[in-house]
Amino acid sequence: MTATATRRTRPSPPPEPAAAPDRARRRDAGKLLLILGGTVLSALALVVSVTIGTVGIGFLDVVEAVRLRIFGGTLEADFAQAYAVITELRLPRVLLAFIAGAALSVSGVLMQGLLRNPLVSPFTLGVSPAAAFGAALVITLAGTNQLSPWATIGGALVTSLAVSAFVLVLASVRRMAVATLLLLGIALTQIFEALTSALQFTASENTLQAIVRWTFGSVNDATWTDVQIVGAVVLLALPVTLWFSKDLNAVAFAGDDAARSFGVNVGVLRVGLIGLAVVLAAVVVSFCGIIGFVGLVGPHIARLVIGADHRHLLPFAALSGGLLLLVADAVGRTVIAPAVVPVGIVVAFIGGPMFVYLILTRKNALK
Amino acid sequence: MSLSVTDLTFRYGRRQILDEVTFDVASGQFCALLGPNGSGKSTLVKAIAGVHRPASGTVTVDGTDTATLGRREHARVVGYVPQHGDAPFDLTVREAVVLGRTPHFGLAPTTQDWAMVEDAIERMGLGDLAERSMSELSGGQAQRALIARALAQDTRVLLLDEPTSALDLRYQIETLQLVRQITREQGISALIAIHDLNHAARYCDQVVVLHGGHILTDGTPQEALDAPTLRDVYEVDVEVHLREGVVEVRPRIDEHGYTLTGSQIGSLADAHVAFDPADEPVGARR
Amino acid sequence: MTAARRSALLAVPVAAMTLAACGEVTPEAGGAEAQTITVTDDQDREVTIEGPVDRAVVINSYGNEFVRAIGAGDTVVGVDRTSLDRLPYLPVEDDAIVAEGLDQLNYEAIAELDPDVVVLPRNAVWQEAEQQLSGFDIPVVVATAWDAHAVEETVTLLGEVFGAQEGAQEVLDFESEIRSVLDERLADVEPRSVYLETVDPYLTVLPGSGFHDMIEDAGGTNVFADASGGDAQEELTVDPAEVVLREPELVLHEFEPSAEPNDRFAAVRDDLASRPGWGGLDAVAEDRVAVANGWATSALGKSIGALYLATWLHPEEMAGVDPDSYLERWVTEFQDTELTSADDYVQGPGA
Repeated sequence: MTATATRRTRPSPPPEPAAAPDRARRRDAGKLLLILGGTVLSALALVVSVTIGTVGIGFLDVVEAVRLRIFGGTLEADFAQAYAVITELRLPRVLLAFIAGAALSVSGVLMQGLLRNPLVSPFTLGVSPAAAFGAALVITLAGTNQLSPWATIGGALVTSLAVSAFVLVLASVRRMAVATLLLLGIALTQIFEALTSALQFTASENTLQAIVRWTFGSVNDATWTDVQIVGAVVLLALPVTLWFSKDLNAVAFAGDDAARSFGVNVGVLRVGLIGLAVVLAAVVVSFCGIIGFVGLVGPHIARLVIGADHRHLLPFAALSGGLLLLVADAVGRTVIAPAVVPVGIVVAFIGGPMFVYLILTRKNALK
Repeated sequence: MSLSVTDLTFRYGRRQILDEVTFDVASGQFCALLGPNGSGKSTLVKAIAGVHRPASGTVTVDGTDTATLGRREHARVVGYVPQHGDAPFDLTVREAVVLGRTPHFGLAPTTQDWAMVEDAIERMGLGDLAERSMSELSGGQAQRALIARALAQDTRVLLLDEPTSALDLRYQIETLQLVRQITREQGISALIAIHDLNHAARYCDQVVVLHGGHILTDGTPQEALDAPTLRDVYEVDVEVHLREGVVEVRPRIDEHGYTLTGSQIGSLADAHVAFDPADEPVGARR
Repeated sequence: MTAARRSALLAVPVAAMTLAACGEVTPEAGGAEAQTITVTDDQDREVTIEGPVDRAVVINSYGNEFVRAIGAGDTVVGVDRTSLDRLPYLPVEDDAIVAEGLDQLNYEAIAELDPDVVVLPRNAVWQEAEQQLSGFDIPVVVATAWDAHAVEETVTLLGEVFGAQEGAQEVLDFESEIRSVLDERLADVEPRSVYLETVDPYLTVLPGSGFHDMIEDAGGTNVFADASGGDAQEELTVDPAEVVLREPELVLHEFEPSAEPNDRFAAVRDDLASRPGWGGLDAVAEDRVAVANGWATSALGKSIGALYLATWLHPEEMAGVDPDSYLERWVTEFQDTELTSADDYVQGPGA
């Protein structure tokens, strides 16, 4: 509005040799290509993982089932069984695994960027255990496991938002270092796991299994409703995070003061995006239970491949997190087939060692 | 008059940090902001940079009150170089410098943004390091990258918060000369919070001494740096000389090689009057 | 708002529409008319099954025991691994396993087995199973065979589900035969105190559990009858000192059910005898310690266990009653398998 007053005395930008900016643009294009490639790979992986399982289903069966599901048609009797397995069981579960992984990974990227620490994740800040406790509390208070999913989701959301608000307010009031914040997160994780165990201990046999279900991540009960709700949340959140990705860059790479000097409203950005990160994590926990490490390892893999720039990191982390959970679920379905190992357990086997590796290789990560 | 600060007051809670600070920095001028630890230097720089909101007072750039600008507009007018920029994530010099374009582009940097980035990188002599990771740079190189970032921001005012404190002598001098050169070439107003009085005297056009949130002196290095003021402000017994047209500040030592500091200065202040003016160094006039 | 940012927002509704896309699918007509069975299950759910059931997936070993007891064991085509581990005599192979335990059921494996019904206890993931199997029209019946309070209901329910009402009645008759022996013989006995622990050291049982009732049915009193705060099964890990203080006249340790005889008895006895403070317990010093395999003593709603316990607590009143013969009948007539020797499963005091 006051551009006239601040007009530069220096003439327009320097007549720069075009080579260097071109290189920068090419690299940007290269990263877009990586994201595109990752998307194609994810789509393929989704289809392949639909073919994996106890019942023999081929690639073409999947294509046919998807065609029927989307465009309609006559279901032949000898294809009915395969069609039902694909559309009722496998598609919802692989999609839910992928979307949940994407949500957790994006949540991890947001938290890591905004708190400026690559070891932060929804799990290490106590958000996921709090969400599980919230769901368990609702189940216990209602005394039944036949609740509408909204009640448990609400319980998970309310407790996890409250806990993260508590952590972040405390962190800003006491001017905590991130290391302190992480320790606080560990303490809260322990507290909420103990509280959930206490609820389990006193649970009736009807509610017990409903509570236990939250404590380890599983997509064994995936339905299309789950896919639609979690998917809608992710699809709404991702463009929002992309919208603020350059502001996120400023905070993550330059710090609060410098980011403010770049015109970023740091306070609002931090509260808003951490709120979003918590919602993403809490929604996933409320549908799939606690799935650790994806929020930590997904972003890290993405950063190794595509770099730290959040404009590319956010979409790529969604893909890497999604793929990680997709693969973990495929492994869980095959390793002791026909029995199923919950995806949360499989991913811990992959993510745990990676986390240790991260800690050992990043000496100054806890500044 | 490019940068103009008028009656700027800032409080942390009930603690008054800045008390009606008023000074101007003309276009093309490189101004040093001096003062001991806790004098409010950093706060003043951040208040002008828009990092902190002042309680009252105005900051104008080329006659425009910056309080009337939106965040992004403000960021296109005033640039800021922090003391250090430790990024917890690995990014290249180019990625670090393009952050300075944040207030200029929408979702992605345009060709023009990249051109400005390359220009800033070249001017800070980082051309060969553009693809290097920030964590591989030396302290001086990293500081230059931060200044390149502020250059890429393309502002009328450049604020630097003790950018030389962690650097060795060579990089201190190189940084100061670079900023001075940019200031003159582009006709911007630069304000640097700095500890080294002699560097300030040698490389800056103007010196502002801040003490307890007040401005004590403001003028050319010769005008602003006088021994009694510096003794009061830093509580160190100093003498000020003019050598080859440049002011030099040195701690005064007695025959045992000892310099009076802190409360010891009080006794000196009384004795001060008794000094023979002939012994008094040139710069030490009131 | 820049163009790039605007297009980013546009992606939302487009993607949302893709997600919701869904075509009309008409299944090809087929399938013959079948008789339908409607039952009300353990959770008061009304379930309609297309019968007669000749293929069933039964989760939980007690459920499998009951299904076998009513004579429908040959319909079982799918089980959980725990059931097969405990009951190797089930007529299925490893490829019939559809889960490890009570959750993480492999629904597509179940669907592939194409059962007429899936039977689960109430502590399994039956809601989830109902929802996931609805697409395959496979009905889910909740029947909780481990619940000793619900033996009659459960057996009757399973009898209806499998069209084996006669077999169910035989099971119930057998159980009431045992109950009547106990009622007759123990009408006027002085109850004697019992400390019963299951599976883990100091994991004892509280009122409300089947084990507590088993003690009372056998003319005993549970030394922890006044305790509370148990878990879902009304089981509670107690302070070791409390066990000693309460001076039970008999100690019974029941370990996990296993139809395969195992040789844990000596180890369990050694462990019991060597527990701190237990040397002073009269029950231990005088060897009034019993160790049992849950497959025997928890069978048929723990009625066989009650029979054994009664003979140990009140040998005079129970004179002439041989619990081994009842176990043998349960195993050979109702489980249709061999019993090597009752001693392989139950070792009473002084054994």
